[in-house]
Amino acid sequence: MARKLTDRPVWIKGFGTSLDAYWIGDRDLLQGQLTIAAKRAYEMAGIKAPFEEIHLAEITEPYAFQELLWYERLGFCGPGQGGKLIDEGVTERGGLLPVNPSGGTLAWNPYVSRGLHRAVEAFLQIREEAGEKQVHREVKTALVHGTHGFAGQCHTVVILGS
Amino acid sequence: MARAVAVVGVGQTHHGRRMDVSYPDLVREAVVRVFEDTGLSPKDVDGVVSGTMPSMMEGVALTHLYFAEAMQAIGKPIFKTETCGSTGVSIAHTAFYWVASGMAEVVLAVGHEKMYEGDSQATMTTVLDPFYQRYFLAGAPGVFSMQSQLWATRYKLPQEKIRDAAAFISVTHHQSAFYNPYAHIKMKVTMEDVKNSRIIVYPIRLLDVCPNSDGACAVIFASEKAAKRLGRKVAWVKGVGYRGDEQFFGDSDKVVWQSAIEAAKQAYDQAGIKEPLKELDVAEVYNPFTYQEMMFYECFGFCEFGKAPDLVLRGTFSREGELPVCPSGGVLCTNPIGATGLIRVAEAAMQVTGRAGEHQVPGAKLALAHAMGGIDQFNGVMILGSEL
Repeated sequence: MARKLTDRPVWIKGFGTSLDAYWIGDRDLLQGQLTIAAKRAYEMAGIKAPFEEIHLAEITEPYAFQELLWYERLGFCGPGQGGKLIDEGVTERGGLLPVNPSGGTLAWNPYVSRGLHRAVEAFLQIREEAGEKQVHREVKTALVHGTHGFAGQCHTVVILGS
Repeated sequence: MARAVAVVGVGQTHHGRRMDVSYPDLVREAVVRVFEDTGLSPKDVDGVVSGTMPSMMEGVALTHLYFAEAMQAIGKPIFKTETCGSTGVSIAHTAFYWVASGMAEVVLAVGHEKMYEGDSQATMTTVLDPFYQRYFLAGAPGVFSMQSQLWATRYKLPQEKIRDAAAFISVTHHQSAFYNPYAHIKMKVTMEDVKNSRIIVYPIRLLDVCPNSDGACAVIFASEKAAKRLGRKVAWVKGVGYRGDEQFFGDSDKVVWQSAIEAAKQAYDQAGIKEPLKELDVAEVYNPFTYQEMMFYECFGFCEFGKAPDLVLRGTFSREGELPVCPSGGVLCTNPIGATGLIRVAEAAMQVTGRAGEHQVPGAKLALAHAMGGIDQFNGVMILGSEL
């Protein structure tokens, strides 16, 4: 059906979601469920080395520090190393792993649709249809991330690929 | 259809006015019971689906976050599906599709409501757009009364005949509730009691109408492989169908009601059902209002349009009739809205697996479960059978 509708489908290669406890005191707010959600998505997509195999990421970061924390929980770098990726320009538009070339959730946050916006942005990047936002490296595999609930009680990761 | 999926077990709370438990503990009661019923434990569950009425009902938004512990869902994938009154069937469909797709082997579906902590009619007003419809359509009784009168007028049904048929239905379901340990309203009623009870909105009277109930229901769906490992009779999902109408009430016919007709038709086609009245053994129809219940019989092809009152008065849909409707007592006696559609699925599953206890329809093999949502906007159907 996809091939009937377009000659450039973007495939859902992996999906993972996970829910944390409700009561804040029962949770580890730094560990959370993102690593588990990502693991499920990576396994489904056959990704073993996320930093190497993912070409672009659109993640949901309503607070700037969460972007750094999510880098770490997604396995882009080790714990506490998120800031290094910023210092070294790794996640900038021209970097090794561009993150949120759309501006991400910090740029616009319609709460319920924000995850879908991330998916659309990743889709456009893969198809080289992102206009002024387009990164200038080939994007074959993109990671899409959404979260809701206090301090990220629930996380969802989707891997898109051409 | 995709791969085979079965309902392998169910759990329900004792529905009613449950001031003895908090909302999370109400949910926990149903979840504990489905694990007890199946012998499974939370670690066997691959995913959880939940749903309930809009947040205004209990004043809790995003209940799936609040009930993470009660549903034993920590560390699990979770989906939420909410379609107002048809939520219970929608979450059953979501769980079914999840297992049918091959992406999960075992899925827990949980529907819940704690209506004594809220205002159902006020909540229902928020379902309607505030500019054109809210002022005259808000609240269920007015809408269903209008719908019933439209039906009566179109088929020239005498008021007295539909009045009698509705009362007959009310008496039948109130009797049945005594045989269902989980049912809320257990009240002896006669035809005269129903016909003389106080008017809500003409022609609907108090005993034609469902109660507000607190309650939760939990159902486990499983793949053929996982179901066979349990070594017990299971209820196979034979067909599903779901349709929605326009938001604007006047834009479609609510008598020859397309969403109800098409939802049932799709489910029947998948299940290979051509003559529902003959082939179904039980129908757990969504029936908060006696008059509207008859309209569902017609839309589901149990009889021709305009003929339901005749069949009702002949006992066709009574407990010993050709097609028993709601031997559980139905929505008329128990209505925790977010759970209600799932309770229909649970009851249908119990019937075809011989586990309905005192309200068992002997030899039931094929059952229909249904729920309606919104202001006459959505209809969902699931057919369950004892054979693969």
